[in-house]
Amino acid sequence: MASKGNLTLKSCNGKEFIVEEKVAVMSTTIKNMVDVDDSFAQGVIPIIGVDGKILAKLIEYCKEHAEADEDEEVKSEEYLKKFDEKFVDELNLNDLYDLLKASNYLEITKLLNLLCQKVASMIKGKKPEEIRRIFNIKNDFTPEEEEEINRQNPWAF
Amino acid sequence: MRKDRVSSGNIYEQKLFSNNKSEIFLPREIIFDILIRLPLKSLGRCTCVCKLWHAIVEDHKFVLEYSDRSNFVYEYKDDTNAAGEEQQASWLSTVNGLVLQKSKLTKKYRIMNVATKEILDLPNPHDTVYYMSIFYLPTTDIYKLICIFGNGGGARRGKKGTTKGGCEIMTLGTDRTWRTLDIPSLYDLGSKWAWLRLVVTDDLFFLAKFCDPGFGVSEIVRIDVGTEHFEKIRIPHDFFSSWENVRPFLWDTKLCLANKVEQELHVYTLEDHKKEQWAQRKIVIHLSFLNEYPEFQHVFPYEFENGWLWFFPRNAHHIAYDIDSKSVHIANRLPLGKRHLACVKYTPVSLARIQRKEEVNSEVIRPKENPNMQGPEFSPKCKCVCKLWCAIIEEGNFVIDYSSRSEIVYYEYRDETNAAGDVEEVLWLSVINGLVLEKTALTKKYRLRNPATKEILDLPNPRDTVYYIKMFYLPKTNNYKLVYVCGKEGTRRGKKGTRKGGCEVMTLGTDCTRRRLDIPSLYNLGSKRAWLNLVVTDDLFFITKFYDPGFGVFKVVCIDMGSEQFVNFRIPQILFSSWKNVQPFL
Repeated sequence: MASKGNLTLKSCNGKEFIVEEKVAVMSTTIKNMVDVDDSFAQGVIPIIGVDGKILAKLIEYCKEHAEADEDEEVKSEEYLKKFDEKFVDELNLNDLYDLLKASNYLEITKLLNLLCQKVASMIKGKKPEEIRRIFNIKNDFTPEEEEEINRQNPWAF
Repeated sequence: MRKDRVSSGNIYEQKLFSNNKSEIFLPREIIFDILIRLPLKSLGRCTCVCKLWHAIVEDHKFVLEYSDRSNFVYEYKDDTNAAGEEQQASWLSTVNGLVLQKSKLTKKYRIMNVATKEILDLPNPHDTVYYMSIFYLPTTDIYKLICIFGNGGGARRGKKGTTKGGCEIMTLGTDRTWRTLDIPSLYDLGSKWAWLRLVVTDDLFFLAKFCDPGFGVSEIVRIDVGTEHFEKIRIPHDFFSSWENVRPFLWDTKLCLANKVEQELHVYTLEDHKKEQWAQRKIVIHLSFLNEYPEFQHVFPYEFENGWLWFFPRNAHHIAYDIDSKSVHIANRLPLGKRHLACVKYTPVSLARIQRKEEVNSEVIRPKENPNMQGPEFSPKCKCVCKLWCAIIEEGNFVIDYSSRSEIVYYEYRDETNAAGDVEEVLWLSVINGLVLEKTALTKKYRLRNPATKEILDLPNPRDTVYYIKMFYLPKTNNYKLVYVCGKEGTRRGKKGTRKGGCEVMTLGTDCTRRRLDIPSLYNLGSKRAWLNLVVTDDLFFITKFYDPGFGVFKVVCIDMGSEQFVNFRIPQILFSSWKNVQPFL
């Protein structure tokens, strides 16, 4: 049972995290749940589909940003920027995907923007084959279809 | 802050992980979010990464949001009169990062995407083109061109033309060639004594025709580009003594006429175009500030917006004049020796894609003569008597009156068997005004049928999974509207769906395809734990969403079909303990 002002989040593999409410409500999804139904605020909120490792990462991010929102002097904008940079640089591809999906459905907009920007910067300037290789995407075009598209977009190459 | 909005997914239903990680990439909306951040060149390459990415980038929503996010780019050309490379085409009109051009070499009209330099050649319009403009209509994702022409080769104020002028219109992707829009006011465009002036907004086209006293009627033709309806707006002849220095432009959202008299600008605004009602009093603006800018002496204002009067001289920078504080603001100084062409936002839209857009989906299949036709047989026959009768019979009021007078002639039955015979060919979904909305079992297509005349109208295919499809008739506007409630991938109470659901509407005759009605409460329709129920009235559409306790917010969404406005109501959860057997009705 979490004390007042704290929420308990439970990952899909059973790990429980006690976090301050201001940290948890960085997620619009959780905020809506807590707003709509008080019973969530007392009990355990199961975060289905997010494992302990990812949930810990999410909480780490939300904590820094929630604290920065509260007190700008301790955590300056510059500090946050450095934190964000380090945060995304340390991710491997699988974690990046998982975090993207988790932040999308938990609606943590700031993090989602950060991660999308990160993936966009990985795509920038690369050739289609490289992009497919990096992101493990199967090319489902026939060679003819691919040629047709390339013919239409000569400006891109 | 409580907002009447459920988060985009029920927390229990979203399938975030697949066992086989190497196979799955990311949900569509995340890829959308990523691709929208790319520079145009990278984006072009991404279209051939895989089919999903290609589909996302080509979607018109993506295109719109992408150009929305990008910055304005000013296009210049050298300010010379040399017939060099840079003077190959004249720029006529721009929209959404596309530019309508006339090639100086071939004299052909074409559309170019400024960013990608892709070019789409247009069919030749009528002889002498006075004006041509391109429009984009976001609700239907359609590009349209309007062309004003005169005949007989006389220049606007030059030789006398005896033949008629007019207006042509073309929808890109649907029309193969120009269609005539028959506007009587434009018949005499070739004549000598008229000044033509043009004003365009996002979806309106105004052509002002000013005639010297005694030489014709001065009037304005207003064309609604979306509906292609046009109106004539008369100008009181005592407004101006001479038309030479009169210009129309936009005064906030209204059209206005302004006359430059020495150092003053006299402005009359059009208060109501339907009633042809002009402002009682003219607005007078002193233009003495222009004396400081000798190059602007002969410039007319272009637009008045939020207190600023804008001037866009051709060869120089733009100036804005604040009429309250009388201050002058100079924007966008031109690079030296350059000439301003246009201010555009780069867009990834593919012209080839616009052009190959499906032909108008509604194709009427005429029924064969049916000798057994009893009641309604008179109407087709009488229709050929004369044009007036035909018009009367086709009028909305007549049709309604006729069907309300006729008895419910026949109930249509079918055998209650499950045999996959002829009987099971179609599924009746909704009946209104004697018209049946049905789905064919064979082709899975939706269509409208008039059981009396056996006339059939095929409808465009809706999105993936349709939960409900209903038809409404709105007597006020004589419109038929269709509503689709759909989910994406995964059935209502079946498999888990990660994608969002939504609602789409289509007005028959106006929309060629479905328009999305963005209702946040319906985003999570694909989810597992919700029961959906439907109630319809003549012009209201209710969807109720019930969940097992703890799995979501209970909602009623009510859509007014006429205005397409929607409202959410919450249902107190404590009303019933189980929602399995709860049904709404009137």
